[in-house]
Amino acid sequence: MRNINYYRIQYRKTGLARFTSHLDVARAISRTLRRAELPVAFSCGFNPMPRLSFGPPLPLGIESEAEFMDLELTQNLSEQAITLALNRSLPPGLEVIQVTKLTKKVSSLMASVDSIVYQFIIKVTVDKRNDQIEAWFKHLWDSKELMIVKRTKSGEKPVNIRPFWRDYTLSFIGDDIILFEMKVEFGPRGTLRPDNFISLLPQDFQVQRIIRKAMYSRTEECCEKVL
Amino acid sequence: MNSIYEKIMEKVEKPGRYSGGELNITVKPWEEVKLRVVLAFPDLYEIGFSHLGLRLLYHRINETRDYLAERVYAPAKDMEEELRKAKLPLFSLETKHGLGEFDLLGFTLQYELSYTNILNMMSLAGIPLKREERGEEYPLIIGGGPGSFNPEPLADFFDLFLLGEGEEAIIEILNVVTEGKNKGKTKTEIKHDLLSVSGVYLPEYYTVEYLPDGRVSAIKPLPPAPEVIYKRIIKDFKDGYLPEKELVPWIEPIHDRLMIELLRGCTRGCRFCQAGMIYRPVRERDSSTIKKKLPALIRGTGYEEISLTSLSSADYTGIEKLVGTLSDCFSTQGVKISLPSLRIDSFSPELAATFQAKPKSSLTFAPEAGTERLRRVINKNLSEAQILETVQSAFQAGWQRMKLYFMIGLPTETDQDLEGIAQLAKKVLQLGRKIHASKAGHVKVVVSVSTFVPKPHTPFQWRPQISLEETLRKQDYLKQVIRGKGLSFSWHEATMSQMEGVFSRGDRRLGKILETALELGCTFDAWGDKFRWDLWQEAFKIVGLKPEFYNTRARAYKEVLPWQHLSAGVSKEFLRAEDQRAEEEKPTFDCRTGKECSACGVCPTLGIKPTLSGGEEH
Repeated sequence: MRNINYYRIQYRKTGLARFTSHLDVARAISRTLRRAELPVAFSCGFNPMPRLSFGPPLPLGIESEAEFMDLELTQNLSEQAITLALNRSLPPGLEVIQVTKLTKKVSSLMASVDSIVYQFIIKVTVDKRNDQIEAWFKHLWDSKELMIVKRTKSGEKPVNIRPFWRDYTLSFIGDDIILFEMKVEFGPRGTLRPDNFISLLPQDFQVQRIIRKAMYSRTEECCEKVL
Repeated sequence: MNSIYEKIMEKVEKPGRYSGGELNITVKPWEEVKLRVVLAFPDLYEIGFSHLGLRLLYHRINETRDYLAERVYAPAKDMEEELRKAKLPLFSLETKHGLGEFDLLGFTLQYELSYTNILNMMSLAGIPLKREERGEEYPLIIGGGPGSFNPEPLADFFDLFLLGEGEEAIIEILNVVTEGKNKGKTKTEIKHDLLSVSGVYLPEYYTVEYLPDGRVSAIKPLPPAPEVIYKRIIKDFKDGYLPEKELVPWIEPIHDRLMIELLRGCTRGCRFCQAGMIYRPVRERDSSTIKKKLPALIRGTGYEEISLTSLSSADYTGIEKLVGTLSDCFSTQGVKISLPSLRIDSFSPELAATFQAKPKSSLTFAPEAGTERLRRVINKNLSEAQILETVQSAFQAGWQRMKLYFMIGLPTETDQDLEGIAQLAKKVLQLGRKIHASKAGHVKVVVSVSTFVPKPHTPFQWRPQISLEETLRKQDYLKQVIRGKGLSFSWHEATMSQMEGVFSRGDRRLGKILETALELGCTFDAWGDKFRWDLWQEAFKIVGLKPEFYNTRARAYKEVLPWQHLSAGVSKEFLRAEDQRAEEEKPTFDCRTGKECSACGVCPTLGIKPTLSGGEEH
């Protein structure tokens, strides 16, 4: 067996790239690897595929500071060299933030990610004091049930998303901008899509941008940030 | 980027169709160029992005210092609604300028059923459809591609068409327009100057006269326009233009691979095939150029597949050697080589194995007609033995699924020829079952049938298309005879072929039909689920024309055809002789062997010779 080197890579997806689906980003990155001329390990078989795996998919239209992928190389390259090579070759809107060499093969991102943090940048179009806004979010948080309508292939069905909402923080910029950060569960029993959360906000809370900020994985003792 | 467009994109299903920002695009500073061109493909992004010709022009124009080219595709219904709601014009992908802000708007005319999309795109950009209603402030509307060999149904809407290959002519056109603008000339004056560019057709310089029964009686050029416009052609294709870089899309187009053109033209001489007639003669690119350019193109794009495209790539001189060399060179990077299609008479299992994803996938062959007799009529001179031999070697090489492509409604066709399709399919199935004896149930044969539509500039341009009723009858007949386990039958929507036939050999009067159909709500007519036969029929009723006049009517050789003033270099005498040879079931051989010239006229008329230097090393 060849000597395989494992790397975990964090990248951001911003601007127009947010209109690209998870699958399309995966294809764009596998092409990036070829342009970057990295010594990628390929799967065996008639259609060799790069040994590359991704974390939880990002819903279309949402930006991210915390996308992750695991990559296998046949040579031991420095983290810095990989960062440089990738950033030279990535299409506009995708950028590597950091590369960490893993000492051994670890469980996949999809299996280990436990929760995700999203930041909502919200513009408030009516005159409201900060404490009123805080009270509104507290009220939402205290609800036992938060129903949204989920659109599926077989039609629309109501879903209670409250169980997936783990935590939140609020801060304010100027008179009318709220930074609302929410932590949601990600795992086998489901997750909460941030764009689905918008329907719970009042009309005069206008969501300007949603940005995925961090991912956490469950370890034996506690939860920690992926990378 | 303009956030107003971003807001709209957030509301549509596939924003990647409009966002731009693909790898290797060119975004030039708007104010710093002399002329701005937007190249339009009148169908969805996924279709339009895959089109090589428009991309060649895009790169060719952007490689100049003074001109910029951007792209636009037909917006899907959801985007159209958002644009109309927001009262925003249809915009380019690169800089999000409304189409009306460009100096030139160029449409590629790839298939007739995209014509309503052209008008709809103009309308969405706020550009008046009719040429005579467009003032100085609007762009020049230019058309190119195979449709420009009979663009008459679009003649009222376009300023000019370019016949033939565009990579040289487009720059000449832009030069003339720039010079005119510098001198403060009006659009009318600039168009007059464009008469000097060879291959350019300005419909307003030709008056068409009709007989009382609707046939054309005369096409009269206004001086100084020439009597006949000949197509443009790249004489030296050996070292023909290749871009330094290629675009890589975000969302997946139908052809998601690096395409490199091996050769142009095909002189096999199939009598139904318009491409075979209008792109003559055969010109092969030097294999050394291909080998030299490909590594940088792969490094610049990261594509995992290279497609060696042309009308008939397996005909390229030394194709096996080239494919072998390229496969060796790129396989270590996980890059595959593929050919777009394989011909029955140039198929070898070894060659096919290099191209096909895996032997388990299906292999497509096109006998085109069900009997040897009818294949002689169309000059696709394949014996049944040849077909079965090829299919046998494919089965032996491991393939289990075959797709056989045929046309119905070819000249002289009888029900025996239809029966022949079923017989051939059954023989292929039996052969496959015998070879894959242990897994006979896995062998599948799909028969795919489309309706023959006579095209301008082909030997069959005078022939009637079969009627809707006849098409349905033939399809029903085939449904009856192509039955049984392992066999399946698919067919092309009969009404769509009828409409394609109308516009294929249409005249200028059809402009009104297009406008009316658009008003009634026809767009994306090439999409089976969007095509509205009822609305098209209504449009004909409103305008007072009959589709049968255009599609199912036989023309006399002496009739003035609406495209008579447009020439691909192939002589009318040759086409007529070929039509007669079809009747007599006589073959006409490919001139690329060098043994025999079929005297089609293209070489002397255009001052050109076939070039077959392909496999030679320099």
